[in-house]
Amino acid sequence: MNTNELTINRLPSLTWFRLGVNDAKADISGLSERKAAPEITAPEGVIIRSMDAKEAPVCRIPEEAYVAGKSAILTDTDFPSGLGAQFVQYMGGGSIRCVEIPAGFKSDTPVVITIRHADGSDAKERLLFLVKEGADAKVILCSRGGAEAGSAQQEFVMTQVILEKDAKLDFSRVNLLAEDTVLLDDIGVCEAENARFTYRKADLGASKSYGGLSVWAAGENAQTEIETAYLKTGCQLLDMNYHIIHSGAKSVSRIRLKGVLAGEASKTFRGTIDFRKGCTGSDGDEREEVCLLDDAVVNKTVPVILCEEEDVDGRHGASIGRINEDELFYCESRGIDEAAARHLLVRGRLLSVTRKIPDEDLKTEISDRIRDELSGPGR
Amino acid sequence: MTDQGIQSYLEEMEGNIYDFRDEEKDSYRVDEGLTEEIVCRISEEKHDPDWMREFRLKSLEIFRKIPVPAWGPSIDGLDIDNIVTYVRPGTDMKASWEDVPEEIRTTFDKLGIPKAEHEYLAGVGAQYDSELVYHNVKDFVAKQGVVYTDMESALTGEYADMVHEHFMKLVPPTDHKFAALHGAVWSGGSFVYVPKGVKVDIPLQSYFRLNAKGAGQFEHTLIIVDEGADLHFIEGCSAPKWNVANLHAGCVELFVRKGARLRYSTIENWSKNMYNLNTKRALVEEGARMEWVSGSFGSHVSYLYPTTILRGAHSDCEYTGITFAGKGQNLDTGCRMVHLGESSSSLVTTKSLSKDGGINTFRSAVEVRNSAKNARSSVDCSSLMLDSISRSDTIPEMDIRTKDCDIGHEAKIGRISDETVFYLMSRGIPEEEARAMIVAGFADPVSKELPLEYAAEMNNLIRLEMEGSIG
Repeated sequence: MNTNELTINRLPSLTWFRLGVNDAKADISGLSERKAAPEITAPEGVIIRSMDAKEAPVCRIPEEAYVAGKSAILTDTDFPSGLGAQFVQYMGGGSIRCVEIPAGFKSDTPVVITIRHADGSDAKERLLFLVKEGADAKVILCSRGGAEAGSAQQEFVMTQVILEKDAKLDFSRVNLLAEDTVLLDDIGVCEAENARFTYRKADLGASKSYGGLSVWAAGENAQTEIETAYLKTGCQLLDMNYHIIHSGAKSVSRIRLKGVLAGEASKTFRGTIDFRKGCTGSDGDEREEVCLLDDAVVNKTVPVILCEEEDVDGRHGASIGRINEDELFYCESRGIDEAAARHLLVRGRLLSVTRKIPDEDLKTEISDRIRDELSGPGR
Repeated sequence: MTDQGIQSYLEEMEGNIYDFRDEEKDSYRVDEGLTEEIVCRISEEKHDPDWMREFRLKSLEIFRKIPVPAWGPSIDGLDIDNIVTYVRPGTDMKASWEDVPEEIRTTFDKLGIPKAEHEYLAGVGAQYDSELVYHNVKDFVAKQGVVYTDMESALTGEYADMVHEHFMKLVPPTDHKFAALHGAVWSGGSFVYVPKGVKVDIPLQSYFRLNAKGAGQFEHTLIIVDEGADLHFIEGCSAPKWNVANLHAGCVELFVRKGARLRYSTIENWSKNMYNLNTKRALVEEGARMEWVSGSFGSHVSYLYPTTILRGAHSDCEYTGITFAGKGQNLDTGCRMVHLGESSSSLVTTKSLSKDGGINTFRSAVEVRNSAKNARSSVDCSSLMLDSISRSDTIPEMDIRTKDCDIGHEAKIGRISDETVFYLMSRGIPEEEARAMIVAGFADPVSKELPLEYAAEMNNLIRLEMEGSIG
């Protein structure tokens, strides 16, 4: 293994290598000693503490009976991970910032964690959210700044979430990093009976953004809702690997991606719904809509369903291409000129996801950033 | 079908109508395994021109360098050192069924090939193990200038230059390990040339039968449909079941010239000890249309992904496929569409059924290159799980490199709905029959694309597979 490079985002079930989607390589060399400390605000009752990595919880997903063509991504980590074993190993050791949401806790005020890169600082952060039985909480994790000292910054974040019985977590992840920043962002989730995990991500910044997400819907009636909005312009790269493992009966998952690619941006999305034996009555649905604005973009989409249970309902769909001509015509017929109509439709697509972030100022900032990016030099 | 009819069909199917063996009376076979000496011997036996002999040896070199695929079903049970790569039956090629040795003729009689030729085909090629034993094309088709002959004759005859120009140009031996294997030991197969503007109204058919135990079949099919021409080609294949691995690594190369149309239908019913590692590829020129109809029912393991390169502007491809995986089968099938030409379009519709522990994987790629402005593609794949000991995966990929395109993909997986079964039962239909009807309805978009005789066979197969599926 090259110590300066990680193999990440490995597709749970491999396909033809020449397509270049089975995994991604991320350069991790040159991580600065100067680390940005996260700023955290939390409503009363939430417990924030440090934990030794050795005490980290283990939620090991059982192996599947059928393994042909599969990588060992699920069985060689102690906790679900989308970026995978090499990233987990790299992030191992040290301390974990643990956010504990007590049993029965309920608040609309989110826990807000901001990783702000200033003065050339990098970030290497492990977070653990323990959401106890019946708790209901909101979290915003936002990365911003970077590349201010004239050199590329890096941010590596590994987040783990344990949702106990009947627990709910609404998690908003926002990437507002500056150009020339590299982001490796992983989240692994274990859901118990009746748990509900809602995740939305606004991925706008960084020159290279790698996102991994793995959810183990282990409990009966576990619910997972994932929404991601991304806008990539200039030479930005976005590489994602989402994996939902249904092993609890009647578990439900929804994955929705709405994306816009412009300039010479490139994006790969791997999305896997994985129905394991015993997940009877489960339902999984995955959709991606990608709008391509320029002719030099590269879009790769790999929507996968793996199924070893009869009594399930699984669907996936993707729609890729230009702006819908009918929608454009509708706007123009209402007196909006073509350029403004295009702008409106593209921006509307992204804002339909980001408007659900529980912070008005942040929503405005995201909206402004989208507006600026769509009319900026990267276009 | 009457009860008696079903019973008789069941009896046939229990042994599998394709699962009968002839005594092995080949006149020549090479040793097991793959060596330079064996490749040279095959080349010698087949009186190859020099370039082909060199091509075979080069392919062998490539075969040794390329690893076994790491992404698909396991092929650990296949050991090339145990495979006999060339078995010549005890006859040369005949143009009349009467001249074919009785035992071999009986085999093809049982498979219904001579009857089919008489009733609805314009020409037939029949391959037994490594060589064609029968080839014939009806006079009225030959008079139109249509060439339908075995590959060996084409290699050295009037069309030698055309074969040299096209042979393994679409599927180079470097493509993958089993393309290289094919390049080294290929034998048999058909060459078809349809001249400009000629429309062949009724289909041509090649049938491949592999009888020899532990053998491989490596036929090569090369079809050139010239400008404005039209052809429907049917390929069928079967083998008896042995307790050792058999291998099929054929290669199909299709050239569809400007404004032409080619429909290529395949009914694959290899025995359940077969490793079917077949490669098919079509190059489609301006305004031309390629249609694939594919039914995969047999084999122990399949890797099968017909590829279409839509090179010309306004070129078009439609792929319709069904795969039925039962006990002991791991069928990895799908397709690949490469859009290069402006306004090219592709439409993919597939159905897969998994039962009795069978494993199905739908694997596809839609690649839209920057030159393919205004390309359109739509992929729709549906999978039906008939029990919870089976498995069904879908692994599609889309690689899009122009903004001026419309690409859609839809897939779904599920089981037979209880509500639908209940509805049919409430109308007086027994549960088993109701389930069979639902499965037949699921397969209908594909079966209606098949030639009538094959569609009837497929529906019977589904009915039989569904027998005893309750409880």
